[in-house]
Amino acid sequence: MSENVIEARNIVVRFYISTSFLKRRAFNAVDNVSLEIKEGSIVGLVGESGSGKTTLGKVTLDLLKPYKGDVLFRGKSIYKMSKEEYLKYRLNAQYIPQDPYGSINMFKRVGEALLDIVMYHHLAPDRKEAMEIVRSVMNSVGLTPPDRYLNKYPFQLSGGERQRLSIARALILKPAYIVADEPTTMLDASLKANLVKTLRDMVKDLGLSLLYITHELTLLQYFGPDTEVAIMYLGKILEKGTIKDIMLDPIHPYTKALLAAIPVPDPKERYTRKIMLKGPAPSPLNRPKGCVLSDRCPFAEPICKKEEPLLNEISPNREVACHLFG
Amino acid sequence: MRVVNFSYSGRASWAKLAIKVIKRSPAALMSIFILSLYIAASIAVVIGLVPPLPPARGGWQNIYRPPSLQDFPWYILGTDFTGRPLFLAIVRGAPSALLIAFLSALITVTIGTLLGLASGYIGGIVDTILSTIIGVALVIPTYLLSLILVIILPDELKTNPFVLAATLSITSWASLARAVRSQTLSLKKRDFIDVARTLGFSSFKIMFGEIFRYMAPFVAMSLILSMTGAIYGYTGLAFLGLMPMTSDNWGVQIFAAIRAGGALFSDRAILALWSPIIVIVLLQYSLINIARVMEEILNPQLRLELLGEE
Amino acid sequence: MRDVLVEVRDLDVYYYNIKVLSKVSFQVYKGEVYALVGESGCGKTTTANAILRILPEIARVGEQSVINYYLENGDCINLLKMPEKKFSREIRWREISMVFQGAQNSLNPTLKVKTHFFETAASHGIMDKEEVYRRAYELLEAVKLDAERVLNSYPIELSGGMKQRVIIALALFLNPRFVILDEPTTALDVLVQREIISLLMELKKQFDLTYMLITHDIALVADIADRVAIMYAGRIVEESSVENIFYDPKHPYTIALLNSVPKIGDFEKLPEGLPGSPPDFKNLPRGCPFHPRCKYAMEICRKLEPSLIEMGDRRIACHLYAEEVSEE
Repeated sequence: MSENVIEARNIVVRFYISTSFLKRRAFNAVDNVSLEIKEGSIVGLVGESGSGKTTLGKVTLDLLKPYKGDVLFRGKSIYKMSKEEYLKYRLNAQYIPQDPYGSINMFKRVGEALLDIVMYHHLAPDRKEAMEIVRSVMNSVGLTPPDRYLNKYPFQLSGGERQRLSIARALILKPAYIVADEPTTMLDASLKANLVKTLRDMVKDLGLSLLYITHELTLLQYFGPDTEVAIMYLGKILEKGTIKDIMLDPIHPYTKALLAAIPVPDPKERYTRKIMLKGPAPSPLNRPKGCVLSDRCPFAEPICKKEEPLLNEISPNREVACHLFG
Repeated sequence: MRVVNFSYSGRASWAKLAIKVIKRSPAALMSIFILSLYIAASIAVVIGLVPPLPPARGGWQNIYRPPSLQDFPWYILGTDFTGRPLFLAIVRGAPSALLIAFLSALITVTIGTLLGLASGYIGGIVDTILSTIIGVALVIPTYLLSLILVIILPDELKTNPFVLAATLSITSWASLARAVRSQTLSLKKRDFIDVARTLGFSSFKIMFGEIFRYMAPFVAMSLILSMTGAIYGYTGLAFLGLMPMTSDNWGVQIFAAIRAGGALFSDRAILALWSPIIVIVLLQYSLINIARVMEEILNPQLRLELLGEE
Repeated sequence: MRDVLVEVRDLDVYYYNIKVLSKVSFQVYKGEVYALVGESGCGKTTTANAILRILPEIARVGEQSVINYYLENGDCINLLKMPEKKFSREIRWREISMVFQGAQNSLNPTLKVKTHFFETAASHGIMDKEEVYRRAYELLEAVKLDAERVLNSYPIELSGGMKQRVIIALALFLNPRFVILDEPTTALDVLVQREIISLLMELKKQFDLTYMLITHDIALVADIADRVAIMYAGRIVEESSVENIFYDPKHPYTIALLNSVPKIGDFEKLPEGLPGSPPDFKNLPRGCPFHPRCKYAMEICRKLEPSLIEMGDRRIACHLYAEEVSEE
């Protein structure tokens, strides 16, 4: 039974929006969510925009402070750590953001940016050895030969190359935990596959843990059928399970709707898929009472609009938050 | 903030860049040339290559004499109302103007950048306090304040370049601070700042190693443009008669020509009146052109486009 | 005999001296959905921009290139030879318009949605604000938005899906007959994508439109396209009906593209990425531009560029099939 490298407990993240001059309204972007990530494992966090998945990821990296709840790194709360403990956590928790354009400093050359990290943390006794580290990381993410890229500015790289640079940057400190936020969304289909493969090999070779945030459910398959997945919607986790279970036997109506919407590369299928949910997603300020999906769910019962269903473990490793199932 | 240079073709690139810039904009070339002249003149004065002004000689035959080849080149503009060579007086005015302008700009830009960065990045109460200070500084009429300060300063301090520079930049840092603050605020939201935080960079390193990088071209431009403001301030104060009447100050020269030398009443005084003015304007013009070109040179994206790399 | 709406013949486009489109030729029939598929940089957006004449300043179109457009009354005009003033008054946005990618900042964040409509109308000489407002209202309702609210909102207040709908409404503003869809669903959530696609097909029926779809998303193509052209390195390498392309792909690049789409149930087995790197237009290889990455490359592929030839109900540019054709 491996340990949890990161554990998020009952996280609530509250944002405020000014609705008029002196008034503001609060909403919970993440509403009482718990998540465990074991050492050396990959967890997929799936949801659409506004689901709170990026916010949750950032909370586990201490880029955002939650309104309530706790984040533990190897069993210790990051909000109660000593300076040394926190530094250890800090270097072990890294981030690969979504947008390859805004996530890299455009005014630093590739080699310079990576070398900077090594030198700042004194990971090498001199510059020569530091460059060795930089070169080896670049090779491992596929930016080969390194000399071709060292002098370039990020805007001289293609989208795929920039993502690799983001990955290199996250890996250089040899972290135990990485949050990758939609790393393939901006890439072409063939590049997606290559990037996922790189990440998968990374996890295997270095034994690190990955929280993979995406709205493309199908990509998570490639990390293996036992990859754990959590489906989020409007700040809540609606279903948890392995990717195999979720894809072949979805339970929650939202999960079913997501799967039904995934485009299939087969012209014959074009008239068989339906839109299952009614209407567009509401704004996070107007979350329905009771179950968050109750205003759009085709199977909604009266109880769904009154009482919020809690995550219920209906079989080993399978949790669903729905009144129809528990 | 260390600049690590990886460029193997470093020197070659700068030369190619210079040539491209010059080909594109003859105005820039001229401006660089003009500025170098001023700098050369200043250096010449400071190291003693330029003779001191001869003693004043009054009398109708000595003042406002027309240009002559006597004692080349110092009499090519003739004499001013004190009978002394005009061109020599002007050349001798260069070092103080440049020095004060540069110092003042340096102070302005340093304070403005530091306050803007701190205010924008740290936020919270620091931002509130600093923004209030910036707001007050913006509202104070700068020129009046400089005027008053200069009047109450004792003479020994008035000629100290550092003190003068400080006086001139007493509030000019404010608009730069505001601009830097708003750029910092918008850059703060970008993902690469989040990554800098997970990489364990201190706030200090993020402000100066990451955010400042983006603003470096803007700050360099501001530095040069601040110089123009300082020059106006400096010569303006002198023109109003508030500076000690040393003859190596262009503003003083204009002031003296008008107030004491009756320049407005005599045709022969045209050169004496207009030469300092033109010299000032030419410097300002060059500085402005160079500031424009700076942006292209310092922004790596524009720079590389210029060089034809992709 | 199907009516041709747009005919592109021998379209060559140069950026500075680099050839980015090479003899691109195809026809779009009235009422169909014609898809141009390829990865980033293959030239599909450049083709669309050439039709709408919104290529960047550095672009040059070849002398022999022809883009014919058939008006409602049957007249045929060469869009490339029209004077710019006439084109922007009569063709751009009136006959042919474009739905841009919503994720790109196509909407001006400082203008309210209604102002976008006013500006579009004004640039075509329509100054009556009330009429414009009414038409904008109609269109926003047609794209299933709360028209009153959206018209008075700024783009930043709208979600990704809502912005995409506004962009669609703007494209339909002057009642065009031919609409180019440039990556209409990229960067949208999967549920929203489904809705937008549904909406686009409804609108097509409602307003009798012809679509040219530009995308790198193969699955989207399977969903709505009638005919598909696969592009690589600025050339069309295969073109046929959507069924042929998906059930009987012939060109190695087409096959590779199809193999790179994840399918449900594909655990562990990653889709095959393509080896090698995307083509560098400054340095295209001799012969077939795809040969360095092609599993089936032969000697002749390295020397001679295959031309696009007709093979039954498809066109294909590949030496593997050149013999088949000459045997027929």
